[in-house]
Amino acid sequence: MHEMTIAASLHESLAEVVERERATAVSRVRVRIGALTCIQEEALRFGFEALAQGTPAEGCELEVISVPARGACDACGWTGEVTDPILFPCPQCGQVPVRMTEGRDLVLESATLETP
Amino acid sequence: MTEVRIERPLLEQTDRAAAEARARYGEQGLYVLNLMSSPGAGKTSLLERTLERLGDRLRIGVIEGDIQGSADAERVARFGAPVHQVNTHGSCHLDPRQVTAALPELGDGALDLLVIENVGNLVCPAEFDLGEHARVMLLSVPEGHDKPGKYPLMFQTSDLLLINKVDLLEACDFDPDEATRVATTLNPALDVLRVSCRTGEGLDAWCGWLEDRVRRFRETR
Repeated sequence: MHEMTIAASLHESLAEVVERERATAVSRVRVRIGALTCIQEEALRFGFEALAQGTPAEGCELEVISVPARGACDACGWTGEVTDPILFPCPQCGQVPVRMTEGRDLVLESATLETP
Repeated sequence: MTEVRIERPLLEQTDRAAAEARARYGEQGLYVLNLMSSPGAGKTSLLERTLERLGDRLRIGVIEGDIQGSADAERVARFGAPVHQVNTHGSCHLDPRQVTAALPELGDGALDLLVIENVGNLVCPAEFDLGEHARVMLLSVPEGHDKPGKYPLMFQTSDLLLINKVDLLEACDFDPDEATRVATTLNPALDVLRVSCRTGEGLDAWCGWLEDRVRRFRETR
């Protein structure tokens, strides 16, 4: 359940943005989560909503953009999407494992703010 | 209504706290180890055996992370090392800020080595940098040799894998070669040692690994 920590961190960042922009509320938040992060979207939503109570982000919509894992093979130069990231063998030459190049994202991308 | 682009890593505060802590440990000449495993793999027993062997050569401090209770800190305190228990109250991992806050509790004496015993869990602690210089993980024989393929991040981010409880190899269907093969495929830089905290097998090699790391850390300062 480290999703709770991620959700707390998300609210910490949102609070800073709300203060800086002098906003009254947050209506929408977009986060980008890579397939290699082992973050469960439902657990993150649960934590985000629980911690939003009583903050300017209460009732705000959480949009999650999933980023697939991508890899590159150092032996033959193959690049592409990786479906099973654990010990994924290169579909072109069979080398194990393919080096992961994308899918580690854990980013607060944007927030839609209500301003007076 | 305005949409603001933010593009900020979600663990930015945590990662920044870890980087600052690591810089401070470097200035103090304090080598920091993050010790991780599932519950019951033998982290506290390893600490006890390590304090017995290295306690007169290195000044070792210990931070114990547990969801609740102070049983582990009491065990370690018997060996005379300064120790402080951190309770995470339900959280499945330690945070770098919890470690920084706990450090003054170890007293004013200078230390060579700080061992952080993380919360027993093969998943979440792997995601959180505590500002450590090395990660050591234990995999115990009764857990099964299939764990590297099931919990890859822990194996990918560790510097040393200790296969513990090798005295139980005959009683369990654990293939240490297979565990080593998968773990080092996931992480070619991973060192692997086989130990038993009960019989003492392999503990000299472990203490040698640790002393070597501390010595090299001092030489680069």
